[in-house]
Amino acid sequence: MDQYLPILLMLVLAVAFAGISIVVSRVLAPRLSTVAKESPYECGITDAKEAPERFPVTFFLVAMIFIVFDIEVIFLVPWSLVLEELGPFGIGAILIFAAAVFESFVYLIGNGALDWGPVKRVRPGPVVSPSRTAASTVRRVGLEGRGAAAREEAA
Amino acid sequence: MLAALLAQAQAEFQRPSIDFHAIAPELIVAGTMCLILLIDAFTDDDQRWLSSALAGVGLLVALIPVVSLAYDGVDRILFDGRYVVDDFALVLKGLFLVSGYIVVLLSTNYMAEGDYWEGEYYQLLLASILGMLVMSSARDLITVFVALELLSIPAYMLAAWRKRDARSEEAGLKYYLMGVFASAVLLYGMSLLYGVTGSTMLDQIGLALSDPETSVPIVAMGITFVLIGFGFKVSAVPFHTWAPDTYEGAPTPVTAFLSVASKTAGFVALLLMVFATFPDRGEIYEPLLWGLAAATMFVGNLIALRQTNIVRMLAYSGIAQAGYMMAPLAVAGNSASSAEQSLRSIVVYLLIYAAMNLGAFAVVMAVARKTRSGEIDSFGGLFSYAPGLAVAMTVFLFSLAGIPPLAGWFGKLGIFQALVEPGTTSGYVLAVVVGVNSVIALYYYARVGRVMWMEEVPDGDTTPIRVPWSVSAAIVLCAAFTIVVGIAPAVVSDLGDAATVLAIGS
Repeated sequence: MDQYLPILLMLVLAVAFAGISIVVSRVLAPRLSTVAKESPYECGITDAKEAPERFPVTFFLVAMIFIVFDIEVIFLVPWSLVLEELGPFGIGAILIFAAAVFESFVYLIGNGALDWGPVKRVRPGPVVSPSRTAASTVRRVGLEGRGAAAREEAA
Repeated sequence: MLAALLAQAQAEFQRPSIDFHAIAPELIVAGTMCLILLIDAFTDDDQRWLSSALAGVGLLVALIPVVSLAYDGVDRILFDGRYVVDDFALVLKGLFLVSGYIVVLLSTNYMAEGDYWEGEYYQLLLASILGMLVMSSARDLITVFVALELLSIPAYMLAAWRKRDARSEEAGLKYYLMGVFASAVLLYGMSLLYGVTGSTMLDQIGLALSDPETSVPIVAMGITFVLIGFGFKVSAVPFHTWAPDTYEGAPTPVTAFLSVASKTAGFVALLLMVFATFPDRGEIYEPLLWGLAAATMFVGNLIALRQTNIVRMLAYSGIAQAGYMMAPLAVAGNSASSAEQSLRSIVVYLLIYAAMNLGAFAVVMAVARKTRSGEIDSFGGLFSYAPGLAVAMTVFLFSLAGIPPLAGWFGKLGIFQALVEPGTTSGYVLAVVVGVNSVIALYYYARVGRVMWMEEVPDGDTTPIRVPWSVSAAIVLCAAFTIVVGIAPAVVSDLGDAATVLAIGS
């Protein structure tokens, strides 16, 4: 089993490194905390509201559009270097590749990646939900002071 | 400087020849993927069925070049030996395409009725299958890794497809986190192997590692980390912790896909590593895989005994099955014949496992359409109102348990043969472990059978189940395969024989 000795050594090293780092930073690091230090960092401005917040998903879609063009360029540059050797085959191949990559761009635009503004629901939910009943959606008024029987009848 | 470099690149560049016949299955799947996305973007809600129909047709059309390549019978070596289409690759490509098609059959109604995003679902499913097709042909560390990511990343999203359901989100997140962790470990191992051998091509690495002078500590670490990385993918104990939660939370067709196709792809990668990359380093991978296989079988089976949810039970049973399939690898390094025997037994078991496990999930889905429950108790009295489903489920479960004359016994037989072939103590002990575990497994498989055949219907509701045609087609296909292979094992053993030659290098 001595062929696994390096693994064991690695394991010991990893645990020791992590353990020593934690212990040393506990022991050595000075702990002088102030309110300003512990508040979330917002470019020097005092934070006005809770820092963790959900971003509109459109932000991520814009990032995706960036990646689409990024990948396109990464493949276009080496292709352009050998453009002459590849000849018409290269033109055809890069056109197919470009179509496949731009398709995702078309898909993103089609799904509203650039539509900023009030959020619209792309797909409506079920029209009738089982949780919607007459008792849950209609607000009863004027039942105060009337008998339990009347209240049950109303429900 | 730059101009000189560019000139040099231009002078030496030669257009590589591409064998389009060899990569036709991949091209067809990729094209279908793009088509589905376009059609989904430009059609209305009432034409969503188009995407599932297209996905199914695309997968079946991709089978045509696989068959024609198989009849052609020539090993095609592309990209300087980094991508090889041989019999091994073709058998597994066929398996991936057919099991992908069955998953599409299972998904059709589930996705349409559940108000899920359909076009994207099938597009991601095909992307994952594309990764598996690439994996079976990859003979280069980088290609293997790209294929692994291509098949994993869509699967992370598919696992979380039931949006706004906390359990599905948990499933996707757990799968994702464990998956990227495994990728990191795998990459570390690959970088060590590359560092010590100076090549990313599997056959070159194999050649360099067969030299006993190579530094043993680095090789040992590289091999161990690579095997651990793929161990996550095939949910080997102790890297299985994601599997039950992911399987339970993910939509059921996705669970079927993960437990069959994704696991098979992990095994393909393991086979590539053991038989092509470091076949001569048995002293390093054999004890490791021996321990992993034994632990996987015991833990999977013992925890499966206690499950009350059928999907979780199938998840743990899938873990145990992965243990059976890993066992022959633990004796593969003894001789050339034991390597061949274990490769054949694993490929045959993968084919059989796909049919019986997909079938079991198909029945679970069909029953859940009526009972709206995944508990084993909800199968009570299934035979009294849905005899066809009950018989099919019994076939699949007993086949998983390995009872003749169903396909599972033939797969188990191959594994036993591979384990005792080299005649070593470790092989015999592992064979006994497989035997003991088969007995343990029979208990929980048979318990589901008892609930279906002998117990009362829990809520007394015996209205028959309306099974959509696509799900019944999937069940019939899987059941037919399971029974036919059990009676006439030559059907798959021929495929297994064909797949024992791993063509590598140029």
